[in-house]
Amino acid sequence: MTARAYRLARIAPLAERMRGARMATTGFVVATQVLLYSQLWRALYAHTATVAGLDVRQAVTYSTLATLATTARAMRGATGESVKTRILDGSIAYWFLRPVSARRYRAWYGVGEALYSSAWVFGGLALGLGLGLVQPPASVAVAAVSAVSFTLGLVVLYYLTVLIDVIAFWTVSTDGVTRFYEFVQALLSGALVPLWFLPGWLAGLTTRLPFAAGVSTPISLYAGRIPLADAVSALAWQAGWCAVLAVVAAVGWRRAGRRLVVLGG
Amino acid sequence: MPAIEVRGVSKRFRSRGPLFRRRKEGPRETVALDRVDLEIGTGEFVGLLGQNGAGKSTLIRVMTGLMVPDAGEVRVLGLDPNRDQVRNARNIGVTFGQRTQLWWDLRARDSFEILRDMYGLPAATYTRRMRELDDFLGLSAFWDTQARHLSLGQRVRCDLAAAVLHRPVLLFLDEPTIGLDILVKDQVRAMLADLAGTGDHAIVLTTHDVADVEALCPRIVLIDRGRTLFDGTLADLTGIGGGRRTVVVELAGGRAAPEVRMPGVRLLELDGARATYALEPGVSQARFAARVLAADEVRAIDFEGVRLEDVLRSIYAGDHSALNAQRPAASPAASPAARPSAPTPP
Repeated sequence: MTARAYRLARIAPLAERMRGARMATTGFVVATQVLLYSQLWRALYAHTATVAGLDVRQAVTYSTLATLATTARAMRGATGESVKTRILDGSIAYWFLRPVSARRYRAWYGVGEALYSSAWVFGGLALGLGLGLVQPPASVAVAAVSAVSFTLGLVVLYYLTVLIDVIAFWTVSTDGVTRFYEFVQALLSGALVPLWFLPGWLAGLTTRLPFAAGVSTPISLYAGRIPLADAVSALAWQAGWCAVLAVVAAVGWRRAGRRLVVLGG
Repeated sequence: MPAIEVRGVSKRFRSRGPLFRRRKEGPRETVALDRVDLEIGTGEFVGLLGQNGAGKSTLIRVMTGLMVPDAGEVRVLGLDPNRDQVRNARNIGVTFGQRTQLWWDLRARDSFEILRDMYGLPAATYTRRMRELDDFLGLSAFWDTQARHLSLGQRVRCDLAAAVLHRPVLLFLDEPTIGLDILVKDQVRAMLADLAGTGDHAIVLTTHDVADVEALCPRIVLIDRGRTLFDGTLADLTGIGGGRRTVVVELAGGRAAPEVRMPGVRLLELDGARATYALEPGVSQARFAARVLAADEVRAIDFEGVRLEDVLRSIYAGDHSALNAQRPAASPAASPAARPSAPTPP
């Protein structure tokens, strides 16, 4: 990593460190959600050993990891660097006046965001393993495949965020689109409710969508919901979404540079 | 090769209105720039003036590559600033008045370090430049403060430092002193004058602060409704260099002031012992003074060039006679030899 890339990737984590109160709030929200969901799952499993092929430990493991993967990211996103916020305050101009293209700047910034949210996931995972909330991976192979899938999932989530963000070059405000995306993301990524609890036709569809590739796929691999034998197919879907979204995002950035709106006189 | 070449640049904005009224109202079109020509050489300090909405900021955006003109051509040090955005960025520095390029959650020093690595400045060069900028702008007193906690004056000084950190050949300053107190304005002007004094930079300043222009800009480009209304020296515009002047004559002993009959001299106001005359271009101040002194006992003669603020006020109000008296409208850019030199540091 060059000095430039390192410096840009460091922005998001450094900004979080400067705002200790927000980090503490994130920790509190994540811990509360994890504990409440684990209680909820235990209550649901009170009279049955398995639901949809998963036992209570797998279900709690899934829920804990899904909360870790999504909440820290969402808390960060509230004040993070985005096209929409920079268009609204007019400082988006500077993204196009530096010797690093806006697309590359956003990408390195996104690497920092991904590393920051990953720190929460891995920190929470270690704590969850220590407390017995999360079960360890079934094998080294499962751990390795889950790690690869998690990385691909971060790439998918990055591109989804960027695509929503780039829309701001055309619409200025993306509030409506963002709300819709957050609703769809929460529902179809498996972050709130595991996808196998959805109606059959919807579950089949959602497992092929990029939302699931970001959250549900890596956690399902870790928790054993997706068997190791199907891992190659799952990873291929994720890689495919990475490629498709990367192409669409590249086209979006190229056109955005010629549609730049700098609000104000 | 000029630093900036703008040839016949036009830009229109189309607004389509609310979704459900579009068919009824149709698109609205605003002409922001209309066949603008401009040439700026290295070492020039140009004041880009005009009313709100005249097209100044649009012209800055076109010259910096943020906007693509609908027609015409822009070259900045030989590059197309929009197509060669990344390469062009190394040659230019930009500030946009109230908009900061500092990272809001980080300390100002962190922002400088990010820019250092973005521009690939060696550590020693960075340290030396920060020391120089600190001498002018007093940055070290607050560069460990988070950007969000900086006062406006502190933030503007940091933004200016961020814009010149990589020593760009071209500097675009859009309202750099807006909202600043007198002392901070002086600091900013001193730094800009020093930068201009090197002769290595072309600086384009957009401002409504006439004092900034008078202190810094030997050359003025006046934009009105997207067109170049005037392009020449500050002296030409204000009449100091042989243009129209006023003179106030006050006689001793409270006697009524005389009417001076001379070609090109017009009595504007007579108020007891005080008379105000307008002197057309070409009228000798010495001859006028000699005539008055020979006629009566004079207490005071006060010559004044037309103030830039007054000229701009009358032009903005639609009176272009001041321009017609000085130079033809939309005059071509001054030749390099004829261009005024950069200001000296105050």
